[in-house]
Amino acid sequence: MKNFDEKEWAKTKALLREHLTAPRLEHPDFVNSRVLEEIERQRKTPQAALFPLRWLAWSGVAAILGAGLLTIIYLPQETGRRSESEFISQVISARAEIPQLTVSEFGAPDDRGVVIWIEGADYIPAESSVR
Amino acid sequence: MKQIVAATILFLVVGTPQSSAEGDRIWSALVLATTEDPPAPIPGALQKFARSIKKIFGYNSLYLLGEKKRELISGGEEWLFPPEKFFFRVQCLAQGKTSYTLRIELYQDKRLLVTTEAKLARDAPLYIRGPEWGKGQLIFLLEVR
Amino acid sequence: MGDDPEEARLLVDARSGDTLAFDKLITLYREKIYMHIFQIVRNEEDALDLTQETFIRAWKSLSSFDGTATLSNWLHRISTNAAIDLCRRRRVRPQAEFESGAMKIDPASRTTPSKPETPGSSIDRAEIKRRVEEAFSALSAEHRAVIVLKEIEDLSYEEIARQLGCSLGTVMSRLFYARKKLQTLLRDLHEEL
Repeated sequence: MKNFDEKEWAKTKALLREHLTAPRLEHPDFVNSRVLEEIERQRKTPQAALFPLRWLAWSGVAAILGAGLLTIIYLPQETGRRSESEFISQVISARAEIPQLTVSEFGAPDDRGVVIWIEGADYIPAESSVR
Repeated sequence: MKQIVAATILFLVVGTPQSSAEGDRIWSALVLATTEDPPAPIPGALQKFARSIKKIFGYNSLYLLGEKKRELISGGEEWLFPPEKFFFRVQCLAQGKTSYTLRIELYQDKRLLVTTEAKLARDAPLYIRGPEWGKGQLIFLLEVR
Repeated sequence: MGDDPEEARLLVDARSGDTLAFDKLITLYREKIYMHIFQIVRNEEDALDLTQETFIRAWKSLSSFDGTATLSNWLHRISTNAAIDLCRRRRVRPQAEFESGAMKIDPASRTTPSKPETPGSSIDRAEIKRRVEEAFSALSAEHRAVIVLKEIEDLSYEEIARQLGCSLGTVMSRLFYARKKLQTLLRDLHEEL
């Protein structure tokens, strides 16, 4: 968010990062044993037959090959696009000129475009003209 | 050596032309995006943006409220008012091989809402999320072609 | 799949059905996944259950993991969705970490009279933590998730959208409202600090 609220948000964010802490995992090996027990239990049930080891192995190989193929096809385009800054659009700076608005920006996911996201603009009723 | 082009381009349906050496043009559009079942047919001019708009904003139906294409200009500054409610003022600050550095101001009812400096590459659009209108969302598109 | 060859090897073995390899992967990621889940559900027992569930789901879905995302991101995605699912099912706020049932400090009161006050501090850390957690708990599971992913774990908007399986627009909207709500709830805390 780029606005006068940015300073206030920075304080809130600092509070969140300082106080929303997570405790350490007590008895971590318990997680492993419980998960492996469940895997073993499911293996012994009839449904386990749907996923024989050989099937898993071959589907794993197929998945890796598929991933490799997709990488070869798409990655050069993506890195080619994103690594060549002349071919992508970028926002250098953006600011809201009225207090109620907030402005953010990010790259468009599918193409080389860029998005400016404005929040807080007044709603326009359907009967009002925008043209 | 590149010259810095101090020009203004106007949108929203855009500006006054003076050609660049490459013949690049700025295209802009005002779009209403909605979610409908079944989705409305996408206008031809917006076909290439539909997937991105769906991914970015989540809408599956687009309506073209206005568009304009102008050749990129060098020098001068102009304002274009149609439509009355929303318009852009754009200055071309610099020109690269494949992109333009622009200062873009978005106005609503002659009130300046947002100022941005952006580098627009050819065929790499700028999407601007505008206000909600009725049951949809106004989205502004700008693209160098 | 990431740059760690050891991890890649373990993953290949695990996908072949090698539970020993999967056990080692669990050991690599259990702490991070647990802490990530805890940030959303704010309850240790639930976080522990969901950590186990995450790895069980991961085991079942190993064949569908194609390596386009890193293993860490993939596990985080599973765990985030598991946490949100739980919160939706429960439709209750998670318990505040510091709720001891003992005497609660009146937010308007001075703090810890047995200790000399730190200059400029009119509220103690325990109370601040309680207030922050309370405000965070006031958000829905989906809003907590985006705040955790963006503000604490510093993910990009795109990665957050991928983790949550929603559009960028949804991510942006949720962030906007979550930030607004937190700012409103914690504004007076800024003034007291």
